[in-house]
Amino acid sequence: MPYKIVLPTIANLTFSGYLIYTSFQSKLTYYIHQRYVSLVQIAAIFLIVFSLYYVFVLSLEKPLTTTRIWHNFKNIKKLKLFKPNLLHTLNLVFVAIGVLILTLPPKPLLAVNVDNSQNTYRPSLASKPITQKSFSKKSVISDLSIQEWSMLIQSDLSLRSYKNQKLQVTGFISNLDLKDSKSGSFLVSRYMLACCAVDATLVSLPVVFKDSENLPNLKNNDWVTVSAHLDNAAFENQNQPVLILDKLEVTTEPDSPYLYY
Amino acid sequence: MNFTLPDFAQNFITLLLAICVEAFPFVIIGVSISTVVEVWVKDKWIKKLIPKNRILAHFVPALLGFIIPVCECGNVPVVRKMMQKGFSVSQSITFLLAAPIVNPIVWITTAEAFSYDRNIAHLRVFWGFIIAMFLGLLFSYKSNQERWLNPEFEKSCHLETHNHSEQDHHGHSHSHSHNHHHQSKLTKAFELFQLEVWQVLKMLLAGAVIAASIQVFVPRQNIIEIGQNPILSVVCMLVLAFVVSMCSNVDAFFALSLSNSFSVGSLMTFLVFGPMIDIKVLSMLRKTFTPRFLLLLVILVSILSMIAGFSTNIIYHSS
Repeated sequence: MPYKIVLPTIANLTFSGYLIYTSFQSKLTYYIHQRYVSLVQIAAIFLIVFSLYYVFVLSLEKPLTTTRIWHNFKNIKKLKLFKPNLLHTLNLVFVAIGVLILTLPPKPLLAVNVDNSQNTYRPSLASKPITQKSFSKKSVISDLSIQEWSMLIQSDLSLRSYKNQKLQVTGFISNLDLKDSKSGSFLVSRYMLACCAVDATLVSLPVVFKDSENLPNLKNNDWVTVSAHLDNAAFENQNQPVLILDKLEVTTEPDSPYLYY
Repeated sequence: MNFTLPDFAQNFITLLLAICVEAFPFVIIGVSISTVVEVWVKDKWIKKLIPKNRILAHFVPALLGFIIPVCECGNVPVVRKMMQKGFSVSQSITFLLAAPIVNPIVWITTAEAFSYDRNIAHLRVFWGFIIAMFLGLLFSYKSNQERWLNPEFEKSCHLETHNHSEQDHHGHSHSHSHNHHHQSKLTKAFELFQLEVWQVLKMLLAGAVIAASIQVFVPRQNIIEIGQNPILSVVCMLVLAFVVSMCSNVDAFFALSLSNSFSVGSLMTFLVFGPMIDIKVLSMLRKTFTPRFLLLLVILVSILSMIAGFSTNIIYHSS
């Protein structure tokens, strides 16, 4: 095998192998919209097959015998696999960065640097129409997402239609602000994707709690299911529609951590 | 192994991988097609397509990108070969500038990235085509175009043309067995494919590092402030395209990451200027053209790309 091809072939095989492994773990959706997953899988399989076939074709042209391997090993310095020039050094740097990144466990985007004023009730670019619901203030609505609630509230900030409506939403905590162990506020948030994590937009609903008993020890990025009712209250020094917390449960991250346009 | 990184570092890794994973299938499609074209499509077939009329003679190279879908990294060697086969400098420049934008892979990836507004992809192809045609025609009115070529490369052009004309006189002498020829071409294709995927992934990783860094370390509010200024945003994206040097197969995904913060016109400048001129392309072109000509090319493409950006802003604001 020509030695200038060794590193590219190994690198290509490693990256495509990583993609297949991550997709088996159902974690490719941490990076991309779920509709692209099968496309990435096909491309990765294609690259693996091509790389292996290339190695096979070359090994037919110049069989890789144990004698040859031993000969190459003894003369490894003559093969000049690494030359102290800029190109080879850069290649090694790329490989090192790649290996470092690929050894880390996949994680979805976390909530950092959230600017409340920019993100609460943020209208989506191309959101799905919300199916007509019959709102009943006595029953708890749990099948609307944070984004859908955000849009509903945005369209009626005075809360004429939804005041005291009970609801249940799941998301992660960001901007946690504890006044004491029983009162404070946070944003219950989800990221929304159009294409991949790079274009992710945070959608959030402000949650306020006062004199709450039995609250677990909360921290940012904890996944929670919030049971609350809608009302106007002070949040970040501004009177606005908020979720008044009735009950909070710490939950595990959902299979699909993102919402999609 | 269970490393726990600080949140910002974890987000950096996630964003970086998101760019690489999202672009990966398109890299594979792009490299597969460009490998087939490079190995199996003969240059003389392409040369036969060029008509005598000046406008058509530049129109065809600009359209060649549709059937030779190479990104800017792949088309520099193609351009060199075209000139060695007798293409004029102006025709080659038209192809060099148009091909990385008008090719179907780039068109599809841009439309896919900006799926919420596919007009951005169509406008990108439109501006790419117009700028390439305009500059090609402009250069074609200059006589003695060879003076823009690097002297060493100019010599090789003469040598190549001479060899080919001799070969034409004496007939073809490809006597080696067809099977052997086919086998070596196949092996060459596999080798090119491996190398090109590796090269593009490296560039993609470099671009992804910059894109992810901007997302994580520069507060979005700062970017928005630049992005909303109709003039500054265009200039800012021009510089970014030059520095980032992303492959045109995947740059739309990078642009998408800034679409919340930057005006459409500035994104258009990025999408049009980046494939035509960037650090990587310039370094590759230095062995083909004189530094003076490259400087002229950079200035002209910058001005035209900014005009494209401003015009797009006007179109979007008026609609």
